[in-house]
Amino acid sequence: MTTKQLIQNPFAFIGVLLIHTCRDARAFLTLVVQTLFQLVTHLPRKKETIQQLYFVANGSLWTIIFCVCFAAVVTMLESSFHMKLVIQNDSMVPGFASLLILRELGAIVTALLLTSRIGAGMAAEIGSMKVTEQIDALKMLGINPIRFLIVPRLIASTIGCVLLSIIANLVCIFAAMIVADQFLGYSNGMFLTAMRRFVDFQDIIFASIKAFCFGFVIPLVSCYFGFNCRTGADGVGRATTQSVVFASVAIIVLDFVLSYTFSYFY
Amino acid sequence: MIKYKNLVKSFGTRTVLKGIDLHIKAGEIVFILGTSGTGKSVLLKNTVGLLRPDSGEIWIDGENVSGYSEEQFLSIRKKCGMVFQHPALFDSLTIYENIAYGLRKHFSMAENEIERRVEQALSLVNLDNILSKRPGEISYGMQKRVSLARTVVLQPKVLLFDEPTTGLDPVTTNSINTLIQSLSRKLNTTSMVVSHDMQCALKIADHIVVLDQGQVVDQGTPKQLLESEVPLVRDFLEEARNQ
Amino acid sequence: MIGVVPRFFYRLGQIMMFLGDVLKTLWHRPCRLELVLEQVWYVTLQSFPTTAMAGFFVGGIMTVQFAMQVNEFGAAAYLGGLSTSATFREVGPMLIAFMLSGKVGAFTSAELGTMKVTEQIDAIRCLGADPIQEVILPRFLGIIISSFFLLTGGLMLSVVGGATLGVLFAGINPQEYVRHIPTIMGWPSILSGIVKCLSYALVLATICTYMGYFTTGGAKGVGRAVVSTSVLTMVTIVVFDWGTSFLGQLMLSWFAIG
Repeated sequence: MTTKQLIQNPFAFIGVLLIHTCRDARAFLTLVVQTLFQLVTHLPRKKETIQQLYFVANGSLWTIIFCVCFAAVVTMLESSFHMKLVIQNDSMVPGFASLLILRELGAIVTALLLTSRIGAGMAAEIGSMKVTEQIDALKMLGINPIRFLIVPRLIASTIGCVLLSIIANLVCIFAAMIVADQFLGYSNGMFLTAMRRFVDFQDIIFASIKAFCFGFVIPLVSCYFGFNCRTGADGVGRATTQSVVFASVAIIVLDFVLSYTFSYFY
Repeated sequence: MIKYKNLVKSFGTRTVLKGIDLHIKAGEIVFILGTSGTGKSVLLKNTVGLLRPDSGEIWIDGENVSGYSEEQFLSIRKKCGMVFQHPALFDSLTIYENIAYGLRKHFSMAENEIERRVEQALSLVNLDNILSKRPGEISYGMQKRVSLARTVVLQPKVLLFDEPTTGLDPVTTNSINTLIQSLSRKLNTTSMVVSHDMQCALKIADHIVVLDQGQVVDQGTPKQLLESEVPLVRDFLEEARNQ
Repeated sequence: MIGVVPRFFYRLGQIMMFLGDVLKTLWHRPCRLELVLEQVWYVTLQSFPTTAMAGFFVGGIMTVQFAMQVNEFGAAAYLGGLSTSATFREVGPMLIAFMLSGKVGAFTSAELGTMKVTEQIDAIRCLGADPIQEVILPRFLGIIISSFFLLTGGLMLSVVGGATLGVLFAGINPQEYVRHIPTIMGWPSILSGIVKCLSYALVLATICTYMGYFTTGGAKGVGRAVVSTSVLTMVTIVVFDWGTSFLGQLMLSWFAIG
């Protein structure tokens, strides 16, 4: 599919695009259904799952903490800037910022970082297994590759994402508190009081639900692209790239849908 | 033509070449044999400056090139063409542009002259009618031959082949080997071929060098090698006889 | 844990040296303009849908979040200004750059990595050309130019997304949404957005070409290069986000005093 074809025959181009999209969507949904079926009907492989969980959670912990700290600092400074513009004082900043952190920032930054680390890693790993015919070898041994490869990753990533997002939220709030104390002149007590007024317990629940959904989507997308990897070094690179892009877009769209839905419960 | 003096190259803690001394005479076809991972390809890449030795000297045509800069190596690379293990054709260019690439970079040449040279090179490797295709559209064996043509078109004095027949079927292997032999004779070049294939080494080489663990364990003409007492060489010969 | 720090500085030094090489090549032996333009066209075309979509939704999310808070204070009129300003100065450039690092960065490092492991880069050197000049430089410049365009394009669409959600969710009509944008969005905000976009573009271009150019180890190596590209880009972008914000704050207080 090239630009030339688009210009020469736009209808054919759109048609082909549509057919391809439908076919890919069908293949993806089939994979999701198969995975869910395997998840329900078989006990997951315990050791593999725990190994994956270690890889997901422990491996990404420091990166996420590091990024989230910086994000928190920036959020605080920026919201103070905006508040001063609109209502001439920034007394609401601690409350607003902690709300923003819990509702959006914590979960989405964690999820996007996980996409690039875990999602890309899984796609590369499964893609190179596919290229080196290890997946065919599994099938020959009578092992269901979906149950063997995807289910442990799915469980590990979902649990890992929820845990990491809770830690990320915590660290983020702490970092924000320090910034408020050092740069904006709110003592920790003032910060916590303001936060108490704005934040409800359901915010934390909703943040965890978001993280759960994100953690669920990442491995499915990555494994789908990994399984459909074309041969050669070229194919693995392409699969990895596509999985990062699709997972990040899926996360942003999902975040939008969830935010919109949750907004009716506040 | 090419002389290696006590060449040492290591990657991190792993020493791949442990003091290679070799002399390659002009006009010969030299086969370098050895098991995988003994540094055969590393030796070739050191010769054209894609890798730099840690110590030791390389003399090409009476020049000591081991301390050369990237710019100085350009003249060496004009003289020594290398054919890579993968075809290493540029995916975004047509076959014609792939072969013309080196001509455009090394020489300033008129377009019709380039065209003539490209067609000549392609006929040397027995290919035609693929000039406007892209590397992805032709078979692997053809890609290998195009890659050969891309090197030959520069009319180098030395041809370096990095495992030219790995991953090819016996028929194509045979044709590539014949091609190496006929090209070397026709263009009167010195050839260094890295390979595992003792059988064809015995057939077309003037001189055979056997490497093991970064050192030369035996060398000589095919006839001398047949008499060798070195265990690794005997294994190789045994293997060649069984085929 | 101990090994992390020396490795970090080793990597950093390598990247800096690579960047130095690229800039030196740009100064002494610039590549052909067509090659750069080709890359710009290719990258822009390929990534525009992704960034546009990301921009639209980011604007939407910010509006939804701000609407809930602003409504409590009865300051709904400021919704447009607030969410646009927040998107422009902070969240927009960062999230869209995350997107780009997944799309452009990963793609480029995969492409260069494939060229490296299939010995195409070595072949270029053997055929008497400089791979940095022929392959890296066009991509480097192309990515900088086109990601700058893409980021600004994404930001524009974030305003559209914000306005759409303002209408759908907060019940503000578009005129009102747009009317207060200029009151809150000064030149400093726009400038800070643009500076951010530029610095992210530079980070992205450097890291992905570096990772691709130094790939080793076959198909697996290419995968590894792509993963580390996207992780490293994201982390660096977050750090740069903080750095530019901090600098911006510094500049603002400077000019306010002076």
